[in-house]
Amino acid sequence: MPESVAAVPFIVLAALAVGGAAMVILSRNVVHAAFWLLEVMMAVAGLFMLLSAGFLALVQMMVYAGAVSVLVLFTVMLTLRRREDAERPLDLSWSAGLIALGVFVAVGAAVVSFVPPAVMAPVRTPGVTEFGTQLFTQRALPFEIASVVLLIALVGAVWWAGGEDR
Amino acid sequence: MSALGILGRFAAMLVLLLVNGVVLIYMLRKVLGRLHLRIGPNRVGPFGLLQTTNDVIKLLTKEDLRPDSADAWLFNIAPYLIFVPSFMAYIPLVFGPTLAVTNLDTGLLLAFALTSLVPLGVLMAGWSSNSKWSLIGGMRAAGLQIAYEVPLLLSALGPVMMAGSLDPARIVAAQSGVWLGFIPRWFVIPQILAFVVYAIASQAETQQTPFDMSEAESELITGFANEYGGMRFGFMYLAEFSNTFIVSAIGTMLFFGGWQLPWVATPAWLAPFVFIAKTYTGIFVMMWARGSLPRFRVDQMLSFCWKVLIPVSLAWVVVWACVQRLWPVVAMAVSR
Amino acid sequence: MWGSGILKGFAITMRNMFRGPITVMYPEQKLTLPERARWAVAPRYDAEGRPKCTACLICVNECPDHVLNLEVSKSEDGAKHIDRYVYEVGACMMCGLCVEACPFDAIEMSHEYELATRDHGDLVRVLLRDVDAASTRRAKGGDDA
Repeated sequence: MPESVAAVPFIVLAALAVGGAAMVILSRNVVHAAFWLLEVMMAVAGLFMLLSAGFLALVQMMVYAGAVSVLVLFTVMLTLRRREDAERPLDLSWSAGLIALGVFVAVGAAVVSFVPPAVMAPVRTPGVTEFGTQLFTQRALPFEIASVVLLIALVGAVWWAGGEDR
Repeated sequence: MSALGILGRFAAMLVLLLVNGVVLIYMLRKVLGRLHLRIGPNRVGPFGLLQTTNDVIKLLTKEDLRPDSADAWLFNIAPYLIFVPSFMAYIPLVFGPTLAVTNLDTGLLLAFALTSLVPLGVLMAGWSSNSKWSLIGGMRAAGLQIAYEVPLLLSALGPVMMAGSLDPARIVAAQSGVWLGFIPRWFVIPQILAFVVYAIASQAETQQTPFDMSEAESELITGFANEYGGMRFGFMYLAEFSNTFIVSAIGTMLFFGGWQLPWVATPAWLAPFVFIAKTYTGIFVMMWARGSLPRFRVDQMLSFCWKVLIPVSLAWVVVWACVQRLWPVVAMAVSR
Repeated sequence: MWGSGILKGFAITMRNMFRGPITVMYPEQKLTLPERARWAVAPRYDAEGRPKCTACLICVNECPDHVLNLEVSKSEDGAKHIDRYVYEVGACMMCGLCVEACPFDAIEMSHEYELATRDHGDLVRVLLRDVDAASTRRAKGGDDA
């Protein structure tokens, strides 16, 4: 694994990710925002690829870009009654500003106080096989907990959507 | 790999995609014609061979129209968002023992990740066209592809477990030789259930006829591609045929031994031809289904996927995992 | 068995595949029409080549699409003379009611099916022009011919 990632691709991908994230917030059209979110997810997949985490990049692409953003778009398009509803007005009220400021301060504080942990980079990029072995042996408990959480969410969603005759 | 090498590989992929598109359109017309007791194209060139070439020229020279009230940016991007993933999906295909675009130990995952991006382009095209039919087509396509991706992936798990790898080259290599002295070691024989699920799900994933509500001609004209013309429509059309090729090629690699001939060793020069022949046989079966079956309704299709295909493929994954785990134990007990 | 209908459908289409096409290369090859095929209306003639039409106008009145029209004049002795028997083939639906209604068997549904024209005006045909209508007696008994 290289000591540092190539500068130019990293800058391009990082700019795409951050710029896309800004566009998600700035674009007035909800559908455009959803497509910008897709762009952010693809850029993040590219960053994973740059870090030689091919498996993570593909999972990011498949789960987030391929499934989550389709779901987001789906719900956005299903809940829009008219096309004009996609354009949302900019909320400039005091309460919205306060919430935004609060979030900004919290995130800023977190970033400032963040100390990167000293991690030894492995000599060789681990492949899918090592990843899978790790996941199902040493990290089996977190994996199982995550899957149970997802299962509960799934069952809850089905129960919620069940309607009157549940 | 040098930059020239990468460019060369991309050029080869593009040529394969384009030639494949032209051949498949002609093949589709002829096969559907024969299935329906018709002749098919027969005027342009001998046996109508030049018909698709003419269509390509027509698409290339047509005026590029955009509806006035369409969402310009998204409308222009959408064809590429549909085309590029389907073009990239040629990367993990293994054409021979040494012939592949690149060797990835996650090649199969790459192919499925790329095909999972297609519904996004479809949604984009459907929404940005600002037409009811396009939007309905786009929504149907997206809903369908989200649903059918699940059984598609689950059905691929059986062969992956047997080969112990996500690398297409190793999956193919694991299928050489014979069982019991005469049965080719193709994964389709133990995995017949997974193969049936894969065949149905891939037919839905490529939006071919029993599952083509996204472009149901009698209801939605061409669905999400409704407002597109010229080469933009050409891109979408080409991506559709290229996806057909890719799901058939992946099916060949997963279940039918890829580039290998049964029983005999395959010389390296013959391998790509064997692979292409197998893939085209798969495409022919897809077209056969296309010419035989009427279209499902949306609700029938979705409930079929969620209530039949997904439980069946999940159960099969569990059953097969147990079988594969217990087989050595049982074999040892029997031999003792 | 569940799903056997699908397999049956597959078998049928595969059999079709080997049966070969039933369509023909049309302008070069043509199929023979069945005897009762109904295409453009055409007048009938008797043995001497005179039209059998008596200008009774039953076909004109019968036609649901009003595509037939007879322009008739009478000579001094009361015999009918057909100036023009006009037929708008472009609006005709080939129902054959005129032929069924004709009491003298004077028109028929011909087998002429290549009806496309380059000129819109050619779709209005004059079936008979400036001929004496057959007398009803002659058409029925044929004794005064």
